[in-house]
Amino acid sequence: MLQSKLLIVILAGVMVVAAAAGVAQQTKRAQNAVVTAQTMEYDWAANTVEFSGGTKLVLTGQHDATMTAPTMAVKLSAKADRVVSVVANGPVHFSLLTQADANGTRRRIVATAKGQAVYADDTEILKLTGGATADLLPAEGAAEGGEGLARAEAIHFTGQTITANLKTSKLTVDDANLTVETRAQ
Amino acid sequence: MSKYVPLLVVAGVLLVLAGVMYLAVRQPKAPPEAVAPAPPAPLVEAAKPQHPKAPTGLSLEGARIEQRDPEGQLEWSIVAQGDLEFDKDSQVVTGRAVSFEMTDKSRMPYLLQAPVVHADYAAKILTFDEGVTGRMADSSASFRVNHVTVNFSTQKLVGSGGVRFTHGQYLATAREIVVDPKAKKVRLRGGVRFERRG
Repeated sequence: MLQSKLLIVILAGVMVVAAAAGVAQQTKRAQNAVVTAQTMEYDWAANTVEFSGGTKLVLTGQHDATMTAPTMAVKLSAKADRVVSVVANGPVHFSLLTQADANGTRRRIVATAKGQAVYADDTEILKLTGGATADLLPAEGAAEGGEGLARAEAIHFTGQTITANLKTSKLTVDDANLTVETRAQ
Repeated sequence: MSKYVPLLVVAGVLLVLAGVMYLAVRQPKAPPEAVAPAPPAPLVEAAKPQHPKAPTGLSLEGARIEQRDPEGQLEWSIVAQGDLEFDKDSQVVTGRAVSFEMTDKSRMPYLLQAPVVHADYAAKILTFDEGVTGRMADSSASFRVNHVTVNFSTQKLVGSGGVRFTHGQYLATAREIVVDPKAKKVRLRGGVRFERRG
């Protein structure tokens, strides 16, 4: 029984690291980001761009990722050639399809926060605050040839803050609760 | 001799009256230097707005319109490469191939170029048409839009149709753009799409 629990924890850890690595790789392709919204406001003095009204950020490339929120504020560099930071005010929904791991398994991370999500480009940290949740799910139809055990696992995190450090591929959950669901084979 | 005296007196009086009437009816001619200050032909058209009913604050010199605040500070100006015509009845100036400059440095100075402009002094609105391009004076951002109006009082620019706003490496498209120089903000509305260029 103890061995079984230990095995689940190890597997969950491996999945989290793989997922975080997927997030990091996805972020490196962030040049393919598109934001859609009802309104956009460019502050000439502060060099910020604020979006509101059904705001949706779509990252495209080898992976798919989307973030939706009522408002998003983007701080641009002085030359407006890169994004310095993004602040999405809640409720924030974030979804990411990871790259295939060594077993060929792709997973989907679905995260939400009632407060806000903040991404800082210099630290490469994405922080979701205020009733944050994250689900690590087996991606439907994306795990062909993958190991059965990895496909069947679904992990649910809840916490006040979920931090994804994209540089170190580390996911940190403060005041965390972890639920691992194993589907019957 | 004496019988012709009354006739001569009457003739003299009539002559004096005719002279007085001529002097009263005659319009003073404008000095020639005020009519043709600049060489291109369209500038002759531009001299027409020197009508006594021209609105306060408007001064026309050649193909240039200037708007100044009560303190005399230049707020904006329009330079027309093409014709510049003034309709004294409707109080509308129409210019072709125009460059517009919002010059108030304390706000957000910007420039516009358009094939045609209508300056409606009764409604206090400038209307640019047939495809307008604009840019911030510091070249930090630029935009294209089909149709633009600028309110004299608020100085707010509202553009509609096929908006393309470029800032650095990023491009935003929308249905409407509002440039608010007082707030130093640019707002895009309606189906906004923002992405990195290239």
